[in-house]
Amino acid sequence: MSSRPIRIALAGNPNAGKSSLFNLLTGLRQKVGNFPGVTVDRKAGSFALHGGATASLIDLPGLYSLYPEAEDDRIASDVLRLPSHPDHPDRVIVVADATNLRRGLLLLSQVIDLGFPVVLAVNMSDLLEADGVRLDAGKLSKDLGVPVVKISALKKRGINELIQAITATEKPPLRTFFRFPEAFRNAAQTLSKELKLGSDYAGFQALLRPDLFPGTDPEIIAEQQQKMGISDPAGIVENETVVRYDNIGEILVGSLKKSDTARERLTQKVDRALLHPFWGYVIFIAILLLVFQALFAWATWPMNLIDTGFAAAAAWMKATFPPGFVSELLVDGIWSGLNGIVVFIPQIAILFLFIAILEDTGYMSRAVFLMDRIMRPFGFSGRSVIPLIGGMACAVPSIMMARSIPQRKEKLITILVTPLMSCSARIPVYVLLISLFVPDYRIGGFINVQGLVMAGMYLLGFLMALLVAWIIKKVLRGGKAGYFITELPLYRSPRWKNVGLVMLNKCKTFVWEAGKVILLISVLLWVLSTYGPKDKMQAVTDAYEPRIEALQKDSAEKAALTNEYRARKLETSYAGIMGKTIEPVIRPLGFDWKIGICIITSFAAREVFVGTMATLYSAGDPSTADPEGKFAMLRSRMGAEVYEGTQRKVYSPVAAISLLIFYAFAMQCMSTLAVTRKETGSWKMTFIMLFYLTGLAYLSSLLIYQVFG
Amino acid sequence: MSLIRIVLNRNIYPLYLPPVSSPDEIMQLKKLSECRRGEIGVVKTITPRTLAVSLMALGMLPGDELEVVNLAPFGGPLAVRVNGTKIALRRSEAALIEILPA
Repeated sequence: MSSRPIRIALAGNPNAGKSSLFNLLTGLRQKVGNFPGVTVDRKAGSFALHGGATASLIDLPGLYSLYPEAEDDRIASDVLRLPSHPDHPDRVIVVADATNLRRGLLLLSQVIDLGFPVVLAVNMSDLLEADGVRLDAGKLSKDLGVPVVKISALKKRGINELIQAITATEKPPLRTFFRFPEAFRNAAQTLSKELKLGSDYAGFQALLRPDLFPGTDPEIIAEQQQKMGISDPAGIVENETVVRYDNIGEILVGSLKKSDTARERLTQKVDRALLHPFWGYVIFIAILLLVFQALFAWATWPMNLIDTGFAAAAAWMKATFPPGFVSELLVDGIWSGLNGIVVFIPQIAILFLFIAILEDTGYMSRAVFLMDRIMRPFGFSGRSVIPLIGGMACAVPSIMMARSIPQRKEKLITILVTPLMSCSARIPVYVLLISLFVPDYRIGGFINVQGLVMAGMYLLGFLMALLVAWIIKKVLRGGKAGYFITELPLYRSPRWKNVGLVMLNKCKTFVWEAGKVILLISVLLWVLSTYGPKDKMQAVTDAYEPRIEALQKDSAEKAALTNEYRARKLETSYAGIMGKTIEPVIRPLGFDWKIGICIITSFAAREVFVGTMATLYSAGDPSTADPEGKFAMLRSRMGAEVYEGTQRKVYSPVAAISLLIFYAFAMQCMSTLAVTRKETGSWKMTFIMLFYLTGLAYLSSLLIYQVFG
Repeated sequence: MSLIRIVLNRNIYPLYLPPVSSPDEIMQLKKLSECRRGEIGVVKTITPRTLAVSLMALGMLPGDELEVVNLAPFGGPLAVRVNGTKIALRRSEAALIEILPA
């Protein structure tokens, strides 16, 4: 053997207990990433074989057979089928659910025929035996020709035996499971050789399903197909499957359960409520509200704690380090960038706490069942509901959740439209802008008009998300759609270790992968808004600093002058110059250069808009007390702003509405972009998102201002 | 009853033909999409073959007994129970499956 560790893959049906076994074997030595080119979790780790050698372990996405119909289910079978795949293993552990053994053995029989050294791990055999059915591992092993180990991932039983078995299994089984007709042997061998596949069976698959072997010369396969006179390859695949099941049925005589297990009976009862045509939806909406409430409210205090903590540390650093470029870069650039990353962790952790519980208990596929009919016309999956609702709190964890949508097109649509949902970072912007043109008035002393407009903004975002999704659905070429066939797994209580690992892994990958981009952009934005052309910045400093120095400490004049100084500095900085430069472009929308500066700085995050406005209108240091007073001051100053030399208000109602609409649609959030880049693995998609959203915002605002302005 | 014997004994035909139904049965065949909640029947034909292969992989084979256990409203998906497994499929796919009501 070479020096590289033995590579072992875990394969099995969804819900057979693969992930639990993976967590048991690898513990915390695991890393979650993407399979190359696709947004599908690639979980890899390592564990010690019997005798101490290290083996690498990869947890393949759940699969039912090596003949997937939908493009999106292909990754797991690609890894096994193609020796050229970077994750192609040396040995395979097939995990099968004892209470659904027939189906598990179908996959096992195919993996055997690919020529791997295989061990079968029969999970949950205790549940079967509780039902009075004895499973004879020795006989099963003899019939199948591979080692069989009974395990219980839940009770951590049989794990050592499994490790011993996979350590000892160096060679593939002596006989294949499925003997394809002699007539096919020649063609299968030829293809196996020409396409450099590992087994005759893989060659046989190439003969019947050329689409599963991308990048091969179709001529080679077509030639063999013609030679064989194959006109209906799907029929041969169907036949193969039936023959496999026939053989499995004979092997399993006496080892199949006779009646429903307790879990099956429970599942039936629970589903009568959860899938009820009326109560099922009531319960689903209640769950959505709970998730939304948690993201919206529960995440607030840890987020505030993080912000306060970072601010306190920043103040301490500023007081301790000698002033200068390095300390400013460290505190205002990097430290606040880190703050911007860490502050997302509570929302990510909370959303994935719920997601992991919903997935682990088996509820998620019920949600898909209930929502499929409603979501399908818009190109969504039933699963898209949760990212969309979550998007009303924050798009970042919601986009991370969208990866669990199995269909590629539906996943992409969900990711692209989630930022249109009104997230919590828009609230301060909406509040400020709405207060500029809507009176604080209650209809009948009860319904607040400002609140009504606010609700309208949420509705607008939602409707736009539906519209855009529908358009993308029409425009985007759909790959091979495949069928919508989903298993509704048996309910079970969540395995908290799995839930905890999902939360941990999601937070970790966010910090490491999206964090890099966020940090880079926030440092860049800091440089832009702090530095400007040297001589001009110096002139501002020279004009203000001596005057501020001269004033008495803690006096109102000093504070006012400091605010003015800050505003001048921002105006003179590169960001200020950029804001003025884009003014001609945004003028048709009714925006002045100050709004231009805000658009540039709030690219970091939408709520930065309010802080930048406060600085530009000298409405006080955002970190000082009395936010109410500051807000009122900012509002009145913005309301009084007129275009130079005229009486024309900058924030006329139409201009304010135009700006409101702009912030409803524009892609003003670097973290969303960073996480989209991470999830789609594609800069192209990321830029498509940036440009379509900003373009939509620009055109909508343009339309409003030009028609009504 | 070793595996080898089974494999050798089985005459492998190039195309799978579902068990032949009697004319009487054919009259009774019913699309799964037209079944109500609680209806029980035996899976007879699944066409096209690609759908058959996908459903077999999930554990639904011709000859298996199934029960319609849940229907989503407004023409949404339906859920069937077959061999202890619950499978959800859209009505359009259920229309491709014929069952013999029990």
